[in-house]
Amino acid sequence: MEVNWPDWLNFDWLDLGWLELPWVDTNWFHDNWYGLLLLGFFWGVVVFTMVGALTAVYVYVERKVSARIQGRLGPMETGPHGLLQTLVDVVKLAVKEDVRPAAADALAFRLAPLLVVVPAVMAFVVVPFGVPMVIRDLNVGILYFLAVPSVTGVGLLLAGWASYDNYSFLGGLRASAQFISYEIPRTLAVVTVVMLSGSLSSAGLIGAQADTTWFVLLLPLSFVIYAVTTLAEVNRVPFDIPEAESELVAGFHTEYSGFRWSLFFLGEYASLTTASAFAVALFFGGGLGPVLPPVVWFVLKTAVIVFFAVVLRFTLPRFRQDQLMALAWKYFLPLSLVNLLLAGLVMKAVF
Amino acid sequence: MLDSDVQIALFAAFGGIAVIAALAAVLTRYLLRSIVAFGAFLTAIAGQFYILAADFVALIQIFVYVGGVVVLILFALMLSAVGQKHPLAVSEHRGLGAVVAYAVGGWLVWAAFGQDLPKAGQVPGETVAFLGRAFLDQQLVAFEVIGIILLAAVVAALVIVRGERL
Repeated sequence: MEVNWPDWLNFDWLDLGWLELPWVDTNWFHDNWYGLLLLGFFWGVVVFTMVGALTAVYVYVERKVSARIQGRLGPMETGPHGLLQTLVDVVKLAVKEDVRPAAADALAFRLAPLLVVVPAVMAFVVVPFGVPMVIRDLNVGILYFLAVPSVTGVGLLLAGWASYDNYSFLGGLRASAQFISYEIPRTLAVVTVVMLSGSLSSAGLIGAQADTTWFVLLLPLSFVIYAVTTLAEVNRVPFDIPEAESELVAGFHTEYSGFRWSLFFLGEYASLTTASAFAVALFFGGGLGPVLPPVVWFVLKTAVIVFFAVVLRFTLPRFRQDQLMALAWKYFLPLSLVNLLLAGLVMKAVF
Repeated sequence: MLDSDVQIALFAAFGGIAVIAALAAVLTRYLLRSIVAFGAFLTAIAGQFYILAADFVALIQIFVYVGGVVVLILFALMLSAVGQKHPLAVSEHRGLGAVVAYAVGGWLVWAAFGQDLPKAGQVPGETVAFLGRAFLDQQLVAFEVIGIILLAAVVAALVIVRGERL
Protein backbone atom coordinates (compact mmCIF):
# COMPACT_ATOMS: atom_id res chain seq x y z
CA MET A 1 0.00 0.00 0.00
CA GLU A 2 1.52 3.28 -1.09
CA VAL A 3 0.73 6.04 1.37
CA ASN A 4 2.00 9.58 1.34
CA TRP A 5 2.15 10.58 4.97
CA PRO A 6 2.32 14.28 5.71
CA ASP A 7 5.67 15.62 6.84
CA TRP A 8 4.70 16.45 10.38
CA LEU A 9 3.84 12.84 11.08
CA ASN A 10 7.39 11.71 10.44
CA PHE A 11 8.24 11.96 14.11
CA ASP A 12 11.34 14.11 13.54
CA TRP A 13 10.50 15.63 16.87
CA LEU A 14 11.55 15.49 20.49
CA ASP A 15 14.88 16.56 19.08
CA LEU A 16 17.87 16.43 21.36
CA GLY A 17 19.91 18.40 18.82
CA TRP A 18 19.72 21.61 20.84
CA LEU A 19 21.66 19.91 23.63
CA GLU A 20 24.59 19.59 21.18
CA LEU A 21 26.01 16.57 22.92
CA PRO A 22 29.09 15.58 20.89
CA TRP A 23 28.97 11.92 21.90
CA VAL A 24 25.32 11.37 20.98
CA ASP A 25 24.31 10.74 17.39
CA THR A 26 20.82 12.26 17.47
CA ASN A 27 20.05 10.93 14.01
CA TRP A 28 20.04 7.42 15.40
CA PHE A 29 16.97 8.26 17.46
CA HIS A 30 15.04 9.40 14.43
CA ASP A 31 15.97 6.51 12.19
CA ASN A 32 14.35 3.76 14.21
CA TRP A 33 11.03 3.49 15.91
CA TYR A 34 12.69 2.11 19.04
CA GLY A 35 14.97 5.14 19.07
CA LEU A 36 11.91 7.38 19.02
CA LEU A 37 10.31 5.33 21.75
CA LEU A 38 13.46 5.79 23.85
CA LEU A 39 13.43 9.52 23.19
CA GLY A 40 9.78 9.80 24.16
CA PHE A 41 10.46 7.80 27.30
CA PHE A 42 13.40 10.08 28.12
CA TRP A 43 11.22 13.19 27.86
CA GLY A 44 8.50 11.53 29.89
CA VAL A 45 10.97 10.84 32.71
CA VAL A 46 12.40 14.38 32.52
CA VAL A 47 8.97 16.04 32.70
CA PHE A 48 7.68 13.77 35.45
CA THR A 49 10.79 14.34 37.57
CA MET A 50 10.49 18.07 37.01
CA VAL A 51 6.84 18.05 38.08
CA GLY A 52 7.69 16.08 41.21
CA ALA A 53 10.48 18.43 42.19
CA LEU A 54 8.34 21.49 41.43
CA THR A 55 5.51 20.17 43.57
CA ALA A 56 7.87 19.79 46.54
CA VAL A 57 8.99 23.40 46.04
CA TYR A 58 5.40 24.64 45.72
CA VAL A 59 4.28 22.94 48.88
CA TYR A 60 7.16 24.54 50.80
CA VAL A 61 6.49 27.98 49.32
CA GLU A 62 2.78 27.64 49.94
CA ARG A 63 3.35 26.76 53.59
CA LYS A 64 5.80 29.58 54.13
CA VAL A 65 3.64 32.19 52.37
CA SER A 66 0.51 31.12 54.25
CA ALA A 67 2.46 31.27 57.51
CA ARG A 68 3.71 34.77 56.69
CA ILE A 69 0.18 35.97 55.85
CA GLN A 70 -1.29 34.41 58.99
CA GLY A 71 1.48 35.64 61.29
CA ARG A 72 3.05 32.21 61.86
CA LEU A 73 6.49 30.76 61.15
CA GLY A 74 5.48 27.71 59.12
CA PRO A 75 7.75 24.64 58.97
CA MET A 76 10.97 25.32 60.93
CA GLU A 77 12.07 22.03 62.48
CA THR A 78 13.36 19.92 59.57
CA GLY A 79 16.47 21.49 58.05
CA PRO A 80 17.27 25.20 58.02
CA HIS A 81 13.96 27.13 57.94
CA GLY A 82 12.17 23.83 57.42
CA LEU A 83 13.59 23.43 53.92
CA LEU A 84 13.64 19.64 54.15
CA GLN A 85 10.05 19.40 55.40
CA THR A 86 8.49 18.52 52.04
CA LEU A 87 11.18 15.92 51.33
CA VAL A 88 10.33 14.22 54.60
CA ASP A 89 6.64 14.47 53.73
CA VAL A 90 7.25 12.80 50.38
CA VAL A 91 8.91 9.86 52.11
CA LYS A 92 6.02 9.69 54.56
CA LEU A 93 3.42 9.69 51.77
CA ALA A 94 5.30 7.12 49.71
CA VAL A 95 5.54 4.56 52.48
CA LYS A 96 2.10 5.19 53.97
CA GLU A 97 -0.48 2.42 53.84
CA ASP A 98 -2.67 2.55 50.75
CA VAL A 99 -6.20 2.25 52.12
CA ARG A 100 -9.06 1.37 49.83
CA PRO A 101 -12.64 1.42 51.17
CA ALA A 102 -14.24 -2.03 51.03
CA ALA A 103 -17.23 -0.67 49.12
CA ALA A 104 -15.16 1.17 46.53
CA ASP A 105 -15.08 0.08 42.90
CA ALA A 106 -11.50 -1.25 42.73
CA LEU A 107 -10.89 -0.59 39.06
CA ALA A 108 -12.23 2.97 38.99
CA PHE A 109 -10.62 3.76 42.34
CA ARG A 110 -7.18 2.89 40.96
CA LEU A 111 -7.75 4.47 37.57
CA ALA A 112 -8.96 7.88 38.83
CA PRO A 113 -5.63 9.30 40.19
CA LEU A 114 -3.89 8.32 36.95
CA LEU A 115 -6.55 10.06 34.89
CA VAL A 116 -5.92 13.21 36.92
CA VAL A 117 -2.13 13.24 36.86
CA VAL A 118 -1.26 11.91 33.38
CA PRO A 119 -3.17 14.48 31.26
CA ALA A 120 -1.89 17.27 33.51
CA VAL A 121 1.70 16.17 32.91
CA MET A 122 1.08 15.55 29.20
CA ALA A 123 0.29 19.24 28.77
CA PHE A 124 4.01 19.96 29.17
CA VAL A 125 4.61 18.65 25.64
CA VAL A 126 3.49 21.94 24.08
CA VAL A 127 4.71 24.43 26.71
CA PRO A 128 7.15 26.82 24.96
CA PHE A 129 9.95 27.06 27.52
CA GLY A 130 12.21 29.16 25.35
CA VAL A 131 11.68 31.12 22.17
CA PRO A 132 11.82 28.09 19.90
CA MET A 133 12.30 25.52 22.66
CA VAL A 134 9.27 23.30 23.02
CA ILE A 135 9.22 19.53 23.44
CA ARG A 136 7.04 19.30 20.40
CA ASP A 137 5.71 22.23 18.41
CA LEU A 138 2.39 20.82 17.26
CA ASN A 139 0.43 22.55 14.51
CA VAL A 140 -2.47 22.61 16.94
CA GLY A 141 -0.47 23.10 20.15
CA ILE A 142 -2.87 25.55 21.81
CA LEU A 143 -5.80 23.25 21.16
CA TYR A 144 -3.72 20.39 22.57
CA PHE A 145 -3.14 22.43 25.72
CA LEU A 146 -6.90 22.98 26.10
CA ALA A 147 -7.99 19.48 25.09
CA VAL A 148 -5.67 17.05 26.84
CA PRO A 149 -5.96 18.42 30.41
CA SER A 150 -9.76 18.42 30.02
CA VAL A 151 -9.58 14.64 30.52
CA THR A 152 -8.77 15.45 34.16
CA GLY A 153 -12.49 16.10 34.68
CA VAL A 154 -13.22 12.42 34.06
CA GLY A 155 -10.65 11.49 36.70
CA LEU A 156 -12.13 13.82 39.35
CA LEU A 157 -15.63 12.54 38.73
CA LEU A 158 -14.46 8.93 38.73
CA ALA A 159 -12.60 9.44 42.01
CA GLY A 160 -15.72 10.84 43.65
CA TRP A 161 -17.93 8.08 42.34
CA ALA A 162 -15.57 5.16 42.95
CA SER A 163 -14.94 6.03 46.61
CA TYR A 164 -18.56 5.21 47.47
CA ASP A 165 -18.70 7.96 50.04
CA ASN A 166 -21.08 10.91 50.25
CA TYR A 167 -18.41 13.57 50.69
CA SER A 168 -16.37 12.27 47.79
CA PHE A 169 -19.50 11.96 45.72
CA LEU A 170 -20.52 15.59 46.29
CA GLY A 171 -16.94 16.74 45.71
CA GLY A 172 -16.79 14.85 42.40
CA LEU A 173 -20.12 16.33 41.27
CA ARG A 174 -19.00 19.85 42.14
CA ALA A 175 -15.65 19.36 40.47
CA SER A 176 -17.11 18.23 37.18
CA ALA A 177 -19.83 20.90 37.13
CA GLN A 178 -17.19 23.54 37.75
CA PHE A 179 -14.86 22.03 35.19
CA ILE A 180 -17.39 22.00 32.37
CA SER A 181 -18.78 25.47 33.18
CA TYR A 182 -15.48 27.30 33.28
CA GLU A 183 -14.04 25.51 30.28
CA ILE A 184 -16.33 27.47 27.95
CA PRO A 185 -15.37 31.08 28.82
CA ARG A 186 -11.75 29.96 29.15
CA THR A 187 -11.69 28.52 25.65
CA LEU A 188 -13.39 31.63 24.26
CA ALA A 189 -10.74 33.81 25.92
CA VAL A 190 -7.98 31.73 24.32
CA VAL A 191 -9.74 31.97 20.96
CA THR A 192 -9.21 35.76 20.92
CA VAL A 193 -5.48 35.17 21.39
CA VAL A 194 -5.49 32.67 18.53
CA MET A 195 -7.32 35.21 16.34
CA LEU A 196 -4.65 37.79 17.08
CA SER A 197 -1.65 35.52 16.61
CA GLY A 198 -3.13 33.74 13.60
CA SER A 199 -1.56 30.47 14.68
CA LEU A 200 -2.49 27.49 16.82
CA SER A 201 1.11 26.44 17.47
CA SER A 202 2.82 27.56 20.64
CA ALA A 203 5.95 28.65 18.77
CA GLY A 204 3.81 30.69 16.37
CA LEU A 205 2.20 32.34 19.38
CA ILE A 206 5.56 33.51 20.71
CA GLY A 207 6.57 34.61 17.21
CA ALA A 208 3.45 36.76 16.88
CA GLN A 209 4.19 38.43 20.20
CA ALA A 210 7.79 39.05 19.14
CA ASP A 211 6.40 40.91 16.10
CA THR A 212 3.91 43.03 18.05
CA THR A 213 3.93 43.18 21.82
CA TRP A 214 2.71 41.21 24.83
CA PHE A 215 -0.88 40.20 24.16
CA VAL A 216 -1.93 41.21 27.67
CA LEU A 217 -1.61 44.82 26.49
CA LEU A 218 -3.78 44.15 23.44
CA LEU A 219 -6.31 41.83 25.06
CA PRO A 220 -6.52 42.76 28.76
CA LEU A 221 -10.08 41.46 29.12
CA SER A 222 -9.11 38.07 27.69
CA PHE A 223 -6.35 37.83 30.26
CA VAL A 224 -8.73 38.59 33.14
CA ILE A 225 -11.18 35.94 31.91
CA TYR A 226 -8.37 33.44 31.38
CA ALA A 227 -6.86 34.08 34.82
CA VAL A 228 -10.12 33.73 36.76
CA THR A 229 -11.44 30.74 34.84
CA THR A 230 -8.06 29.01 35.08
CA LEU A 231 -8.10 29.35 38.86
CA ALA A 232 -11.48 27.63 38.74
CA GLU A 233 -10.23 24.94 36.35
CA VAL A 234 -7.32 23.95 38.57
CA ASN A 235 -9.51 24.03 41.70
CA ARG A 236 -7.59 26.82 43.41
CA VAL A 237 -9.01 29.11 46.05
CA PRO A 238 -11.38 31.00 45.79
CA PHE A 239 -12.84 28.23 43.61
CA ASP A 240 -11.77 25.15 45.57
CA ILE A 241 -15.25 24.12 46.68
CA PRO A 242 -14.90 20.58 45.24
CA GLU A 243 -12.46 19.93 48.09
CA ALA A 244 -13.67 22.45 50.66
CA GLU A 245 -12.27 21.01 53.86
CA SER A 246 -14.81 22.68 56.14
CA GLU A 247 -17.87 21.21 54.42
CA LEU A 248 -16.75 18.21 52.38
CA VAL A 249 -13.75 16.99 54.43
CA ALA A 250 -11.60 16.86 51.29
CA GLY A 251 -14.07 16.32 48.48
CA PHE A 252 -13.27 13.76 45.82
CA HIS A 253 -10.03 12.61 47.46
CA THR A 254 -11.42 12.07 50.97
CA GLU A 255 -10.98 8.30 50.77
CA TYR A 256 -7.54 8.35 49.19
CA SER A 257 -4.37 7.98 51.19
CA GLY A 258 -0.64 7.59 50.76
CA PHE A 259 0.75 7.50 47.27
CA ARG A 260 -2.57 7.69 45.41
CA TRP A 261 -3.49 10.80 47.37
CA SER A 262 -0.17 12.40 46.50
CA LEU A 263 -0.88 11.66 42.83
CA PHE A 264 -3.93 13.93 43.08
CA PHE A 265 -1.74 16.57 44.64
CA LEU A 266 0.88 16.13 41.93
CA GLY A 267 -1.80 16.48 39.27
CA GLU A 268 -3.15 19.65 40.84
CA TYR A 269 0.24 21.33 40.98
CA ALA A 270 1.14 20.10 37.50
CA SER A 271 -2.02 21.74 36.11
CA LEU A 272 -1.27 24.91 38.06
CA THR A 273 2.21 24.99 36.51
CA THR A 274 1.11 24.33 32.95
CA ALA A 275 -1.78 26.78 33.25
CA SER A 276 0.56 29.49 34.57
CA ALA A 277 3.15 28.65 31.93
CA PHE A 278 0.51 28.99 29.27
CA ALA A 279 -0.69 32.25 30.75
CA VAL A 280 2.88 33.47 30.21
CA ALA A 281 2.96 32.08 26.68
CA LEU A 282 -0.46 33.44 25.73
CA PHE A 283 -0.31 36.88 27.31
CA PHE A 284 3.18 37.75 28.55
CA GLY A 285 5.36 37.01 25.55
CA GLY A 286 6.65 33.63 26.73
CA GLY A 287 10.44 33.68 26.90
CA LEU A 288 10.75 37.10 25.27
CA GLY A 289 12.82 39.57 27.25
CA PRO A 290 16.13 41.44 27.20
CA VAL A 291 19.60 40.28 28.34
CA LEU A 292 18.70 37.01 30.08
CA PRO A 293 18.20 33.81 28.07
CA PRO A 294 14.57 33.04 27.12
CA VAL A 295 14.29 30.01 29.42
CA VAL A 296 15.19 32.14 32.43
CA TRP A 297 12.62 34.78 31.46
CA PHE A 298 10.01 32.10 30.98
CA VAL A 299 10.64 30.48 34.36
CA LEU A 300 10.70 33.89 36.11
CA LYS A 301 7.40 35.00 34.61
CA THR A 302 5.77 31.66 35.39
CA ALA A 303 7.06 31.81 38.97
CA VAL A 304 5.51 35.27 39.43
CA ILE A 305 2.12 34.00 38.26
CA VAL A 306 2.27 30.88 40.44
CA PHE A 307 3.26 33.04 43.42
CA PHE A 308 0.27 35.28 42.72
CA ALA A 309 -2.02 32.21 42.79
CA VAL A 310 -0.50 31.13 46.12
CA VAL A 311 -1.01 34.56 47.69
CA LEU A 312 -4.63 34.61 46.43
CA ARG A 313 -5.29 31.32 48.21
CA PHE A 314 -4.72 32.84 51.61
CA THR A 315 -6.29 36.24 51.04
CA LEU A 316 -9.65 35.45 49.46
CA PRO A 317 -12.65 33.66 50.98
CA ARG A 318 -14.16 30.63 49.24
CA PHE A 319 -17.12 30.99 46.89
CA ARG A 320 -20.44 29.26 47.52
CA GLN A 321 -21.50 26.61 44.98
CA ASP A 322 -24.41 28.62 43.57
CA GLN A 323 -22.32 31.80 43.40
CA LEU A 324 -19.68 29.87 41.52
CA MET A 325 -22.13 28.59 38.92
CA ALA A 326 -23.76 32.01 38.61
CA LEU A 327 -20.35 33.61 38.07
CA ALA A 328 -19.54 31.21 35.25
CA TRP A 329 -22.84 31.22 33.36
CA LYS A 330 -24.28 34.67 34.07
CA TYR A 331 -21.15 36.81 34.00
CA PHE A 332 -18.14 35.11 32.46
CA LEU A 333 -19.88 33.44 29.52
CA PRO A 334 -21.58 36.65 28.25
CA LEU A 335 -18.43 38.62 29.03
CA SER A 336 -16.27 36.27 27.00
CA LEU A 337 -18.72 36.38 24.08
CA VAL A 338 -18.67 40.20 24.13
CA ASN A 339 -14.89 40.08 24.38
CA LEU A 340 -14.72 37.79 21.34
CA LEU A 341 -16.96 40.13 19.34
CA LEU A 342 -14.99 43.22 20.39
CA ALA A 343 -11.67 41.58 19.58
CA GLY A 344 -12.96 40.60 16.14
CA LEU A 345 -14.31 44.08 15.41
CA VAL A 346 -11.12 45.82 16.56
CA MET A 347 -8.95 43.46 14.53
CA LYS A 348 -11.12 44.04 11.48
CA ALA A 349 -10.79 47.81 11.95
CA VAL A 350 -7.05 47.88 12.65
CA PHE A 351 -5.60 45.28 10.27
CA MET B 1 11.74 9.15 9.70
CA LEU B 2 9.47 6.21 10.27
CA ASP B 3 8.48 3.92 7.48
CA SER B 4 4.82 3.53 6.77
CA ASP B 5 4.81 -0.03 8.14
CA VAL B 6 5.22 1.32 11.67
CA GLN B 7 2.48 3.87 11.07
CA ILE B 8 0.15 1.17 9.77
CA ALA B 9 1.03 -0.92 12.82
CA LEU B 10 0.19 2.03 15.09
CA PHE B 11 -3.09 2.54 13.25
CA ALA B 12 -3.95 -1.14 13.68
CA ALA B 13 -2.99 -1.00 17.37
CA PHE B 14 -5.34 1.92 17.98
CA GLY B 15 -8.02 0.03 16.04
CA GLY B 16 -7.50 -3.02 18.25
CA ILE B 17 -7.79 -0.91 21.41
CA ALA B 18 -10.94 0.70 20.02
CA VAL B 19 -12.55 -2.68 19.28
CA ILE B 20 -11.68 -4.09 22.71
CA ALA B 21 -12.93 -0.96 24.48
CA ALA B 22 -16.14 -0.92 22.44
CA LEU B 23 -16.80 -4.57 23.28
CA ALA B 24 -16.11 -3.87 26.94
CA ALA B 25 -18.51 -0.93 26.85
CA VAL B 26 -21.42 -3.02 25.59
CA LEU B 27 -20.66 -6.29 27.38
CA THR B 28 -20.11 -5.07 30.95
CA ARG B 29 -23.18 -4.95 33.17
CA TYR B 30 -21.79 -2.13 35.30
CA LEU B 31 -22.75 1.27 33.95
CA LEU B 32 -19.67 3.04 35.32
CA ARG B 33 -17.27 0.60 33.64
CA SER B 34 -19.24 0.88 30.45
CA ILE B 35 -18.75 4.67 30.46
CA VAL B 36 -15.03 4.38 31.22
CA ALA B 37 -14.64 1.87 28.38
CA PHE B 38 -16.52 4.26 26.09
CA GLY B 39 -14.03 6.99 27.03
CA ALA B 40 -11.15 4.65 26.18
CA PHE B 41 -12.81 3.87 22.84
CA LEU B 42 -13.13 7.56 21.99
CA THR B 43 -9.47 8.14 22.89
CA ALA B 44 -8.37 5.26 20.65
CA ILE B 45 -10.38 6.73 17.78
CA ALA B 46 -8.65 10.07 18.42
CA GLY B 47 -5.35 8.22 18.05
CA GLN B 48 -6.48 6.86 14.68
CA PHE B 49 -7.48 10.35 13.53
CA TYR B 50 -4.01 11.51 14.49
CA ILE B 51 -2.30 8.78 12.48
CA LEU B 52 -4.57 9.74 9.55
CA ALA B 53 -3.11 13.27 9.68
CA ALA B 54 -6.32 14.78 11.08
CA ASP B 55 -4.58 16.38 14.07
CA PHE B 56 -7.27 19.01 14.64
CA VAL B 57 -10.08 16.44 14.56
CA ALA B 58 -8.14 14.17 16.93
CA LEU B 59 -7.79 16.90 19.55
CA ILE B 60 -11.39 18.07 19.15
CA GLN B 61 -12.40 14.44 19.65
CA ILE B 62 -10.57 14.42 22.99
CA PHE B 63 -11.70 17.94 23.99
CA VAL B 64 -15.40 17.53 23.19
CA TYR B 65 -16.02 13.81 23.59
CA VAL B 66 -13.66 12.65 26.34
CA GLY B 67 -13.48 15.94 28.25
CA GLY B 68 -17.10 16.93 27.64
CA VAL B 69 -19.51 14.17 26.65
CA VAL B 70 -18.03 11.45 28.87
CA VAL B 71 -18.00 13.86 31.81
CA LEU B 72 -21.64 14.73 31.13
CA ILE B 73 -22.63 11.05 30.93
CA LEU B 74 -20.81 10.38 34.21
CA PHE B 75 -22.57 13.42 35.65
CA ALA B 76 -25.94 12.04 34.59
CA LEU B 77 -25.03 8.67 36.12
CA MET B 78 -24.17 10.31 39.43
CA LEU B 79 -27.42 12.27 39.50
CA SER B 80 -29.43 9.13 38.76
CA ALA B 81 -30.12 6.60 41.48
CA VAL B 82 -28.30 3.66 39.88
CA GLY B 83 -25.98 2.22 42.51
CA GLN B 84 -22.57 1.09 41.37
CA LYS B 85 -22.97 -2.22 43.17
CA HIS B 86 -26.00 -3.25 41.18
CA PRO B 87 -25.38 -4.60 37.70
CA LEU B 88 -27.82 -3.55 35.04
CA ALA B 89 -30.81 -5.80 34.56
CA VAL B 90 -31.00 -7.68 31.28
CA SER B 91 -33.47 -5.96 29.01
CA GLU B 92 -36.61 -7.77 27.86
CA HIS B 93 -36.14 -6.37 24.38
CA ARG B 94 -32.76 -7.92 23.66
CA GLY B 95 -33.92 -9.49 20.41
CA LEU B 96 -35.29 -6.22 19.07
CA GLY B 97 -32.14 -4.41 20.18
CA ALA B 98 -29.96 -6.95 18.37
CA VAL B 99 -31.97 -6.52 15.16
CA VAL B 100 -31.65 -2.73 15.31
CA ALA B 101 -27.93 -2.92 16.15
CA TYR B 102 -27.13 -5.34 13.32
CA ALA B 103 -29.22 -3.31 10.87
CA VAL B 104 -27.41 -0.07 11.75
CA GLY B 105 -24.03 -1.83 11.75
CA GLY B 106 -24.71 -3.44 8.38
CA TRP B 107 -25.85 -0.14 6.93
CA LEU B 108 -22.66 1.58 8.16
CA VAL B 109 -20.43 -1.14 6.69
CA TRP B 110 -22.34 -0.96 3.39
CA ALA B 111 -22.01 2.84 3.37
CA ALA B 112 -18.28 2.66 4.15
CA PHE B 113 -17.55 0.25 1.29
CA GLY B 114 -19.99 1.81 -1.14
CA GLN B 115 -18.58 5.32 -0.86
CA ASP B 116 -16.01 6.67 -3.26
CA LEU B 117 -13.58 7.61 -0.51
CA PRO B 118 -10.64 9.91 -1.27
CA LYS B 119 -7.28 8.21 -1.66
CA ALA B 120 -5.04 7.96 1.36
CA GLY B 121 -2.35 10.61 1.63
CA GLN B 122 -4.36 13.37 -0.01
CA VAL B 123 -4.48 15.63 3.01
CA PRO B 124 -3.74 19.33 3.29
CA GLY B 125 -0.61 20.20 5.27
CA GLU B 126 -2.37 22.94 7.27
CA THR B 127 -5.48 21.12 8.41
CA VAL B 128 -6.81 23.91 10.62
CA ALA B 129 -6.82 26.55 7.90
CA PHE B 130 -8.32 24.04 5.48
CA LEU B 131 -11.13 23.17 7.89
CA GLY B 132 -11.78 26.81 8.71
CA ARG B 133 -12.14 27.70 5.04
CA ALA B 134 -14.35 24.68 4.40
CA PHE B 135 -16.67 25.61 7.27
CA LEU B 136 -17.04 29.22 6.21
CA ASP B 137 -17.18 28.48 2.49
CA GLN B 138 -18.72 25.31 1.05
CA GLN B 139 -20.22 24.15 4.34
CA LEU B 140 -21.46 27.54 5.53
CA VAL B 141 -25.16 26.60 5.56
CA ALA B 142 -24.57 23.41 7.53
CA PHE B 143 -22.32 25.31 9.93
CA GLU B 144 -24.96 27.94 10.62
CA VAL B 145 -27.75 25.36 10.92
CA ILE B 146 -25.72 23.53 13.58
CA GLY B 147 -25.39 26.83 15.44
CA ILE B 148 -29.15 27.38 15.38
CA ILE B 149 -29.83 23.81 16.54
CA LEU B 150 -27.41 24.22 19.46
CA LEU B 151 -29.00 27.54 20.40
CA ALA B 152 -32.43 25.90 20.33
CA ALA B 153 -31.09 23.11 22.56
CA VAL B 154 -29.75 25.62 25.09
CA VAL B 155 -33.04 27.55 25.15
CA ALA B 156 -34.99 24.27 25.51
CA ALA B 157 -32.78 23.23 28.42
CA LEU B 158 -33.44 26.59 30.09
CA VAL B 159 -37.19 26.20 29.61
CA ILE B 160 -37.14 22.70 31.13
CA VAL B 161 -35.02 23.82 34.08
CA ARG B 162 -37.07 26.90 34.87
CA GLY B 163 -40.40 25.09 34.47
CA GLU B 164 -43.45 27.21 35.17
CA ARG B 165 -41.47 30.23 36.25
CA LEU B 166 -41.05 31.40 32.67
